Amino acid sequence: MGVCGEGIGKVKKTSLVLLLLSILFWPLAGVAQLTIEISEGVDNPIPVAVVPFANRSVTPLPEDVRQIISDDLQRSGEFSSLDVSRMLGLPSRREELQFRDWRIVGQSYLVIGDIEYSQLENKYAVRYELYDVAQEKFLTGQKYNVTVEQLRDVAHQISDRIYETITGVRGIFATRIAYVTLSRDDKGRDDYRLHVADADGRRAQTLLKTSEPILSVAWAPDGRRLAYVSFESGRPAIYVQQVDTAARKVVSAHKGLNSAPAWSPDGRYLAMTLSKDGNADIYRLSLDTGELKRLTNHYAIDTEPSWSPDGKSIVFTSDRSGGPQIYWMGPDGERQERLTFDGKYNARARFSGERSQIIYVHQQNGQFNIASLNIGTGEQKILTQTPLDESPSMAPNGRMLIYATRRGKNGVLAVVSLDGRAKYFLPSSQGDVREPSWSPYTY
Amino acid sequence: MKQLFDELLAKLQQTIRDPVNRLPIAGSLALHVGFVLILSFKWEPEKNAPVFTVPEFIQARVVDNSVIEDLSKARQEKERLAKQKEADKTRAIEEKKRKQEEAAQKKRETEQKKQAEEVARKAEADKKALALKKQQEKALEEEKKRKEQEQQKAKEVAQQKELEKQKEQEKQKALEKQKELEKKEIEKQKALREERERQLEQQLRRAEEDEARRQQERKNALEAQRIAQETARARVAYEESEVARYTGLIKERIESKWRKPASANSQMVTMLLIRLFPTGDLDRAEVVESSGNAAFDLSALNAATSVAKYPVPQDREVFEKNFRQFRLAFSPKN
Repeated sequence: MGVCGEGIGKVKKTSLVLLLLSILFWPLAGVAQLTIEISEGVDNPIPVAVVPFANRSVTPLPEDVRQIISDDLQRSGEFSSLDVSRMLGLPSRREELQFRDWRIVGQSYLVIGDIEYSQLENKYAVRYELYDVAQEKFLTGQKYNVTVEQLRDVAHQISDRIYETITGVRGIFATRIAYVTLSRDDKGRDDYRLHVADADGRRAQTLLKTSEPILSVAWAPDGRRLAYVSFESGRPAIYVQQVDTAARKVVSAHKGLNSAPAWSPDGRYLAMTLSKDGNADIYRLSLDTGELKRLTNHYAIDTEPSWSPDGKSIVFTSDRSGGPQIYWMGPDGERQERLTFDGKYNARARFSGERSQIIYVHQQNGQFNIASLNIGTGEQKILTQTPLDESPSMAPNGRMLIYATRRGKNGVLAVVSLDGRAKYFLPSSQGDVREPSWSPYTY
Repeated sequence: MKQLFDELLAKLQQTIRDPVNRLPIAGSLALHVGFVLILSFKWEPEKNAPVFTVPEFIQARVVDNSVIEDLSKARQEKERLAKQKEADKTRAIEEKKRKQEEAAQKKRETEQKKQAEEVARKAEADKKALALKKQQEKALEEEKKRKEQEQQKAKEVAQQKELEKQKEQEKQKALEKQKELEKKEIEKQKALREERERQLEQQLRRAEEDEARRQQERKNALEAQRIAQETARARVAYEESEVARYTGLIKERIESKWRKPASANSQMVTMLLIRLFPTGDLDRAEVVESSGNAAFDLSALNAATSVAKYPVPQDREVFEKNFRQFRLAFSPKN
């Protein structure tokens, strides 16, 4: 009887506890959970600390990997890299991490790593790790085994990985740029050179040296070839050259104009401007078959074609309206439509990486600037403020563009991000710089 | 004496003439007649020795109490004299009777002698004498009766008057008493009425007070209800205001930490579930609804976890209800 009573008592007690609990949590269950909408953020760059990579070997390192990464991130305009002097510790391993130290100095992300040189392999083992300081969480990391020549590449690739992990956009730090410089040799002759360099302007290589102008440099989608116009033969011709081997060939040398080559996204076609038929019009050349197809046929000048990323549209410049304006058409020249209506001069259009947006040179108040146009909404935005901007070329991630401008007497290359956060000039020691072209992804 | 008698008689006549007294007098007379008749049966004179009594007159007159007292004394004196006279009379009668008996004895002796001759004559003479005597006696008797009746009547009248007076007095007294009683009754009634009125008034007042109290109670209840409702409303308003305030503060704090990644677009939404300690310290932040973009989710998590201390209300209930666990919806406007 006593046991039975105790059992009932226990049941009652349990029921009571359940009842109390349900009463306690009733409001939580009944009331809709509070949801706070977060729609605005800060435009401030994301604070990231890139700790100097520990050198696990006795020999000094030929490259400062930490500095390359830090500069890359900083240059993007989307990150602010913490100065080493402000760091409270220099950890290189996970077990050495004190996240509090990084919170104190206001860092959101932390990059640590080390490099170990193997004399046996003559290679460097580069390891990095990316952490979320606030969450105290490992985000990504990788180990590379590279030669000394590849150390910069690895550093740029690490930058790309960090950038992509945090922003969701593929990084362009390991991409390259091509450009043309003009200088005068000892005898006072023009010295045109075609260069290829890292996206940060370092490790520039000369692909072509000529006393005649080099124009309209265009990277092939594979990132291994360049198309350009050279007057080296006395008249303009379009060349395609292998970047690595310097091997090249003429792909178009028609009578009259051979200019403004533009690669189709699949790399099988080149759109170009030819005047072989009497008037400057746009043609499409099949690199596989050599077949040439005329896409425009207008008494006005049609030039500067550029393919959309999906290959379904080609934008071009035409003065058929009386002045240069941007038009677009289908890949076979169909449905030609004018896109720009603002201003008397709009030229040299390029898709920004999306089909809905183009960038181009826009004249306004006597200045030539780079502008963007949303094709859907017609909204135009001026991206640059320098006075004589030309030849815009989009980075493959669509976040930045490189263009030529004047700085003092010399032409220089400038980079600007589409959100306006990043603006910088590329260093150049080779006189007048022009005709930049941003490579596609190289890996 | 005669004058007194005349006065009495006059008064008697006046009394009789007075119409007011007629009925009582008549009643009294009838009573006296009756009384006399009864007495007459009792007082039937002895056939052999008729007794003549001098009628006794009672002088009656209307006097005041002092006079009555004098009269009473006089009457007593008179009665004593009358009794003495009566005794004298009785003695005289007895003497006469004895003499008569002696004469009669002698006469009887004579008569016994002359019986024969004179029987007839005597008988006749006796008869006549007897008749006359009877007639006289009757007259006397009647006179006596009449006087007695008159006396009686006067007496009765006086008594009656006295009675009436007494009655009048009693009546007066009764009237006064009645009046007194009535007055008392009136006063009593008045007092009762007043009492009733007072009670009524009191009842009314009490009722009014009760009503007032009830109204006050109702008012109090309504007021309490109003206060309760207002308190509840105020509480709700307070909670809403606190929630709005701290929602704003948290939003501000998070937005100051959130760096929208380059890949963000307005279609992306990352929903985080935030669990806080009552101190505002973050217990846990987790993605409950991903945007599909790892960097965007990361940016949201990073922002949410970057806030060192969440601003939370001091009110524990408001905290428990709203901020112990809530959601952060990250979605860029542009």
